Amino acid sequence: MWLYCHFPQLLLDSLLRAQPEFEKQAVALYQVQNGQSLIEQSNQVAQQAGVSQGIASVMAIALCEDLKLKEYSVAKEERLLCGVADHLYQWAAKLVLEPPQGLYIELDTLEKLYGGLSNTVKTLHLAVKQLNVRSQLAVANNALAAKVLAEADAPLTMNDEKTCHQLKSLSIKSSGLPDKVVRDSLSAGIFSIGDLLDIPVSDIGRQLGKEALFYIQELKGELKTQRASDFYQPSERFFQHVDLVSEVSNWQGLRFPMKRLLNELESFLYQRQKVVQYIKFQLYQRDKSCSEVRVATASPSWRAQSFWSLLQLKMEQAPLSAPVLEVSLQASDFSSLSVKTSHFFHDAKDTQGLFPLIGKLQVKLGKNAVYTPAVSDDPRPGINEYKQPPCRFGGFSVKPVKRPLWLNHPEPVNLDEWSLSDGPERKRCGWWDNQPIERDYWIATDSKHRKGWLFYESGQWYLQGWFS
Amino acid sequence: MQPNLQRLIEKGVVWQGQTKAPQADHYIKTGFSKLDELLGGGWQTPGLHEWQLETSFSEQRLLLPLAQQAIEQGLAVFWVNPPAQLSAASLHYHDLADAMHVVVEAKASDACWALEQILQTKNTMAFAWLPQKETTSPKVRRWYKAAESGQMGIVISGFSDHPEARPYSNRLKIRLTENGLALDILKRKSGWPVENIELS
Repeated sequence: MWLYCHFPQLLLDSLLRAQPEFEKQAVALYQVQNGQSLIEQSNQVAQQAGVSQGIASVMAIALCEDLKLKEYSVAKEERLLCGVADHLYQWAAKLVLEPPQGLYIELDTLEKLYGGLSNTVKTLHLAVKQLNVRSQLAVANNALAAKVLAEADAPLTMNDEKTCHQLKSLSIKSSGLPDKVVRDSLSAGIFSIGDLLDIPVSDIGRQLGKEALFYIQELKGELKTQRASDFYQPSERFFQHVDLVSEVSNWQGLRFPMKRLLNELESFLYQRQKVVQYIKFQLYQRDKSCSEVRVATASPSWRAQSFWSLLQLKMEQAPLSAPVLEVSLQASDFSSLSVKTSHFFHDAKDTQGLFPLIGKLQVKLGKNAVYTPAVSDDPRPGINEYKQPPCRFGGFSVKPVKRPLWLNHPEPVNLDEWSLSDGPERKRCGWWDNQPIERDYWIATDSKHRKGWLFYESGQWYLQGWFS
Repeated sequence: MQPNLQRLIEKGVVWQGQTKAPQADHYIKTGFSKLDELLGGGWQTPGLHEWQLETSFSEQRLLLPLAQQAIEQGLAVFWVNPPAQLSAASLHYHDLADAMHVVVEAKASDACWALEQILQTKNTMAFAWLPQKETTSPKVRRWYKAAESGQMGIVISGFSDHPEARPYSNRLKIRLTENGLALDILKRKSGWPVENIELS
C-alpha cells in the first residue's frame, strides 16, 4: 500500500508561512513559459478575485490590482519538498520524492508499528498537518493510483472498492498522462480513467502509444515500478531557505522567518540527536549581493532559543544594511548530543545557565572581550600568560610559583618611591625566540603600602604587577 | 513619589520601613573573624556588596578568600573590567585555577549590562570594577534584584566623598595600612556604620 502526499501550493504556502501578515492579501506566483508570464500558484484571496492557475499575469493584475506577484521557482519548491521529507522521516522511513510537489510513503512496513493501516494513515495525516501547508492525500494499493487520486484531490479512503470507484470516475484530464495522449483519448471517446481501464490492454498500446500502455499496466498493478533505490535519505547538513513576499528593510520584519528557520533547525537536530555550535544566516538582497550573520553559542546546542537570544543581540548591534528578499539558514559540523566536552564546568553545580550567558556576553561584547586567563610553560613572566576561549579547560602543567594577581605592561618606576622586601628572583632566558630577558625580580612596597612586583633590567627599574 | 522625598531617599536620610530585606540563606566568611562578626556572619549571599578603594590594587586581601570559597562551592567566577591583566599563574599559585574564571572586558556601560546578566545566572560570583559615576542608584537596584535569585556580586570602585544611598547589602571603604587593612563600614545589614576597623 502507498500513501501519496501532494502539496499543490508548496512554495506559496511556505512563503505565506514565513510572512503571515500577507495571508489577507492577494498573492500569486508566476512562471514565464514560452515568453509568456502565467500564474502558477495563488492564495485564497487572489483566487476569490479570479486569479487562477494558468491565466496570464497581466490578466491577473487586471483582475486584482493589489495582487503581489513573485516568480515561481521549481528548484526552490524542490528544496522545500526535501524539508517536508525531513519532517515526515520522523514517522516513516520509506519515502520517495516526486518533485516538485509530492512524495510517496510506503505503508506496508509501517502498519505493524502503528497498529493497522487506519492508524498509520491517521498518524501520517497528523504529521502532514503539522507542516501547515495545503495537502492532498490518497491511499491506494499501487503508487500511481495513489498519486492520481491525490492530485485529483479525491476524498481520502482506505476502502479498496471506493478507491477503485474514485479512480474510475476521474476525468481523463486528471490522469496525469501527457497532453497529447489526453487529446487522443478524448477524440477516441475516452473521457474517464474508467473508460481507459475498460479497453483491452493490447488496443491501448496500438491506439494511444506506449506511454498510455505502461500507465494503465502500472495502474492495474501489472507493472511494478522499482522504487527501493529511490528511498529518501535525509541530508547530513541543514540548509533551509525562505523567500519573502516583499522586501524587508528592518530586523523586525525578519524576526518571524528567522525564528521559523531556527525552529526547523531545532527539529532537524532533535531528530538526529545532534548539536551544533555555529550557524550561518544568509540575507539575499535585491542587487544579488548577500550578507551573512553568523551566530556561535558558547557550547553546542540544539535548542532554537539558544541561538535566538544571541541572534537578537546581533540584531540590536547594527541596523539591516539593505532590504532583504530571501533568507537562508545553514548549519553543518554537527556533534553528537551525548558527547561530553572538556571544560571548566566539570565541577560546577549547574552548567545550564552558564553556556547561554557566555554566548550572550560574546555576541554583545565581541569574542575577544570574554576569555579565560591561561598560562604556558614559558618561564618569562607576562609572555607566558595568554587568553583562551571561556569554558575550555587546559589544565596546568607548570609548578605554582608566587606571582602577582594583576599584571601590567612593564612601566619604568623610580626606586626611591619603593622599599624592596623580597628577592631577587633571577630570570635569564628567552634566547630561543629573540626575546631574551635578563631580569632580577623583587617584591616591593610603595608609599601607599601596596605590594608591587618590580624588576631591574638594563639599568632601569620596572613595575610589572601588583600583589596587594 | 514626590521629588523632595525621592531626593531625601537618595541621600540615605529616610529609613524605608516597608522595604523587606530578603531572607539571607547563608554567609561566606570574609577571612577575618572580626569582619565576619561585624557583617553578621560574613558576606551575605545572595547579596551585592560595594568596596570603595582608597587606592587601586588594594582589594586582594578581601578578594582572594572570597574567590577561594566561591570555587569550593563550585561557582564560576566572573571578573568584569579588572584593573589590570588577571594572571593565570597567580590563580594557580593561590589554588584557584581548577575552576572557571571568565574575564569580561568592555566599556563601562556594557560592563554594567554584563554584570546584570552574570548576576541573573545561577552558580556565578561576580567581581566588577566600575567607576563611581557608573554605579547609579537605578543600576545598583537592577544588580541587586538580579542577584536576589541566589548570586553574589562585589562592585569595586573608588572612594566616594559624598556617598548617596544605594541598595547594596554592605558598603565598605578600604584603606591599606602598614599592618594590613583599615575599613570603614558605611552600610551593613546587621547594625550601624562603624569606622576604623583594623584587620591584619
